[in-house]
Amino acid sequence: MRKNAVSSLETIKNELKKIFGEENVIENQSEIDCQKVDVWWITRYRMFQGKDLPQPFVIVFPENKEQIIELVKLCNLYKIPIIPRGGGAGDSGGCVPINGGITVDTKKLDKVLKINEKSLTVLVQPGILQIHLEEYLNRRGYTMNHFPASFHTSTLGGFISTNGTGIFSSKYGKLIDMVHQLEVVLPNGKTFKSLPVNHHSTGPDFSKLFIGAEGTLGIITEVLCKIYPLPEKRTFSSFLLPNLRDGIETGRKIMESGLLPSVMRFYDEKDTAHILKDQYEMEGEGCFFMVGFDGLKDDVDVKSRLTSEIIEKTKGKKLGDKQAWSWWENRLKSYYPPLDYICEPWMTAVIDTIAPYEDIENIYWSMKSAVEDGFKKYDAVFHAHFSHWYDWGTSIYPTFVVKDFPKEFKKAIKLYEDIIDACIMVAIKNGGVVNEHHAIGMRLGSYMKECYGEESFELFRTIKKSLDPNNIMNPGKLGLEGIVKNDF
Amino acid sequence: MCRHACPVFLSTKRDADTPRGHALLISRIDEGLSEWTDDVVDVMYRCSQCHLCKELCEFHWEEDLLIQKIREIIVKIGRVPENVKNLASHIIDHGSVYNVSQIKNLKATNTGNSIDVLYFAGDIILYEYPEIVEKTGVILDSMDINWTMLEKEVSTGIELFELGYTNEAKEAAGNCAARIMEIKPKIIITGNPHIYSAFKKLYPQWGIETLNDIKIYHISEYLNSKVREGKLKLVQNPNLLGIIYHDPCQLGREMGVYDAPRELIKAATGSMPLEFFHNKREAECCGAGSVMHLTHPDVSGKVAQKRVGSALEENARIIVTACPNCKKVFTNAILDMNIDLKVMDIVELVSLHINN
Repeated sequence: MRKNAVSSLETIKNELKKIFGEENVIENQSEIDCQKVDVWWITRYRMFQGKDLPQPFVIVFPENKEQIIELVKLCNLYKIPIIPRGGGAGDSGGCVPINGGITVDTKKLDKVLKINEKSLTVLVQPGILQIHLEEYLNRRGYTMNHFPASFHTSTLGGFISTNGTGIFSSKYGKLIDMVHQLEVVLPNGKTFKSLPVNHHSTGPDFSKLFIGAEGTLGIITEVLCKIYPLPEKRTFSSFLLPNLRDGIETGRKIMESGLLPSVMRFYDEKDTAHILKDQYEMEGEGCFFMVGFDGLKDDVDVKSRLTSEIIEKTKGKKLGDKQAWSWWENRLKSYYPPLDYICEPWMTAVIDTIAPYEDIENIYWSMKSAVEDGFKKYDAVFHAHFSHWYDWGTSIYPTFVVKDFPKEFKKAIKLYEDIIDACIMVAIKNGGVVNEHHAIGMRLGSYMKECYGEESFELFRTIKKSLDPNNIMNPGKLGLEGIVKNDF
Repeated sequence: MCRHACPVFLSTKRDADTPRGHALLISRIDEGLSEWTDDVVDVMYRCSQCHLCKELCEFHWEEDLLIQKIREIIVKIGRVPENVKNLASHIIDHGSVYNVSQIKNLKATNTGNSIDVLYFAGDIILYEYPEIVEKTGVILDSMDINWTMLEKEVSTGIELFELGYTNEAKEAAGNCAARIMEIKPKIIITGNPHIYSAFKKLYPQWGIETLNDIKIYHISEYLNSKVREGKLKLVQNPNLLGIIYHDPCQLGREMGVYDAPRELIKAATGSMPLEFFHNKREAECCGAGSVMHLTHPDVSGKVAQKRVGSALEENARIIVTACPNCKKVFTNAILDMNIDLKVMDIVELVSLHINN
């Protein structure tokens, strides 16, 4: 590094220490090593291949909005990238500092500021881990009803920034349905605060601009979230349906009837075989279907009965409640296994896709064929479940796994890109929409244009350029700069 | 990833301070992709070995074993941080983390007669809280227990073990057991859960069999059994309000003693204590585990302040604990926070209520 570059880096660090205090400006390589990876296969694979990963030159921990405003001003002055980070559990490189810069770890912004038990809202800072917010609410008799797989490790701000989805989304929605009001420090250093209600006719609802923006349009500093009283009763039941088509149709009928199950999960044959054998030591053919309700006891009882009747009409066979309850109690066991972090991972990715009912089955078979027939020589495996349902359509949560992939780094990366490309292009061609609620990030950024079309996507670019002319805020994400290659 | 449970992470918010962080950093070294740096070595000592992550881990990932083995490797390759090295040297040379010349036992050894109960105080109680020794004596005497202490207590090895000096720890343990066997008590009681778990769990694992025939109790278990037998009579004072009980990690999660201290509090006050939101097997560390209050007092202090903050959330006025390390860091935290809260050892509480 040139001498003047080093001296300006030192100047910037000194400025950061003035803004955040010494304790909140971290230069330790140990911390940087932990923060430069996420759950994306690429970062973990690169790490265990001994390849360099992009890294921030410093990590800062803001404790208030004013510090973030000062940071944004400083970064505009020196044209330094800012990478906001919550739990770092995204699977698409959303918090990878592709051009270096400063990682802004939000986890010290973790205070619950106010609970409103009359209007059922909670005012909270975005760096709180979801489990801690939920514990705070449970102690007072409430819940946010947001239970994603990374419930223990991710922050509320991270969920908002990816428009995350929890297992109860069929009833309680995604983050976009849970947020009433947002305060955001914009890339130009100004603060935007949306209106304090989540439905209004006061022009466009600009809060929506920041939900799913993955930190490209600013840093969230305060959130007003919707909360619910803890349910009086909760139920879970499990069934076996003859095949995928019957399962989708059953789910559609349940949603069409307005029964609003809190959870409804339906697994393809491959996932079902694995679940029945490994988790429940059962034999059986077909597709595993699970449904649950929560709320007032009488309401839950009636809805459970009506749902069972619908499932029986579509040739569903009731397995009982035990398996579904076991799923609920053990639901977090299959995520973030420790060994994923201490050895080279299998090649894998989730390619969540959403579509109206008339297209969804065809999309499933097309994606499955794209992976398993298209990449037969690598024994690529495709499995999926359907877990977020609406009255107009549903989403497929597909995962591919390749255990035996090329040893050569560039060939492995190319295979990874080819599988994702084949999967997504066939989904889009058949009416699907990319729905990666774990982040679009770098992994899927190039498909934003494919989804929206060139002309429509230009709106996002225009907004970005207007708010962030120096492109300091989380550059390289969401396809705003075209295609970012995975062999960076 | 267990970060939500790690008391150190919750105080520093650093990813490196989590079980995942430890695994990630160590696996990189193991794969030959990174090296032991001062920075990484320091991270490996920023853990109070409270085992809460393992307790709450969906996979029961054995973080405790990982940290223990890592520290042994760090000792073996000679990369121990200076502050840890100095502490370990002091323990090896003097048998204590404290200046032992200032420690005086309050009960003379009586090797002439057969002894029922040996009270092993441990250096933190002897040095920091001699009044707990005194009060323990008053309680034991009130029941006419035939008890004594070692004329000069020696290191049990537990701190050395926690710091990764396992060979030295085993040597100290052998020496300690030999000193105890000079007295041959029928029962050993201690108010220090680290020593309790060392005598009861680690010594047998290390092949030290000399204590096998001696019954070993934490003082809360012993006193509670005496209350049940009717030998220790406590005068209930229901006016002692707002007591919350903090489970020391070594006594609770490690040794499974949850009820005895609570029952003693009930015997003394007439009602069960208030509970922390995270209690018993889910109780957070006070910050002094693995002598972190001596190796990393800043981190330890923050952990203690968080736990004290949790006590305030339950409207507690007195934190009762059963470990002198907890008492030490809570007391400091309360001073730093400038709040009106008391900390008491379980022995101090019982001594207020004995019927003599």
